[in-house]
Amino acid sequence: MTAVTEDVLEIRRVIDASPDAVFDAWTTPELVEAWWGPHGYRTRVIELDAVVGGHFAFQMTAPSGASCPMSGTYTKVERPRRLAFEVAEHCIADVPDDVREPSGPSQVEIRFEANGETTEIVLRQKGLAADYRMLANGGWSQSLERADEVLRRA
Amino acid sequence: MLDATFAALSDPTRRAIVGYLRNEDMSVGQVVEKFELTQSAISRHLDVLENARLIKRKRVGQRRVCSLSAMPLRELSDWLEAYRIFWNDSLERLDQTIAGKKQ
Repeated sequence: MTAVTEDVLEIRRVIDASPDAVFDAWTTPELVEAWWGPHGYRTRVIELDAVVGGHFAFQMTAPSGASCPMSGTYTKVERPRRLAFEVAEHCIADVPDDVREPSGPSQVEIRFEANGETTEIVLRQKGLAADYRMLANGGWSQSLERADEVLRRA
Repeated sequence: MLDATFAALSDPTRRAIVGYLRNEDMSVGQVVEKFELTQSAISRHLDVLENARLIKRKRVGQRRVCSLSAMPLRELSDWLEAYRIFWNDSLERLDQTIAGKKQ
């Protein structure tokens, strides 16, 4: 199985606070509401159960007023060093119209690394690019059959 | 546009062809040698890939050489870019939130 695209996103950022404070900002509903999402978005936390196997569900509102839910499940909760979750439902800003949602879940892992008085956040997200193996089992195979029929007739 | 990309890549032989072409351009003959399929079957796969604009075929002397086009694959990675914006914006606001709490 050849992976056609490299689909790991890595983001790093230094925050002027302790790992405990930063970790709590990721797992406390009223704090999450203050910062989660791209500029211009508003986020309301419907559910946030930061234990392994616990769910999160955020109701996000885009600047246009469009509703944009985002939800998933926590897979690692190790205060204050590491947090990981699987995103089942993606909400995203500024995606071209012809780009579909990822066809499956993506995995986010965040490490909070103490660095003197500050904390470096290292965030990695995997699985965002479409997974061709899943596509192969989905409606795409029907498109393919139709494409083949067209080619055979050509 | 993206549908054609996905449809073209929903077949394992075609994914494998794209995989080979990521590393180097290959003549049609070289592609055929990689698979236990007839030349006409491979040609049909190459047609699908070309129609989806995933590959280009050009004539070089006696040979027809296949090369990968990056554009449709780049569309697949738009999600990454969108999420890069998502997290960068979010972390900037996180920084402001925490800074605000300290004051």
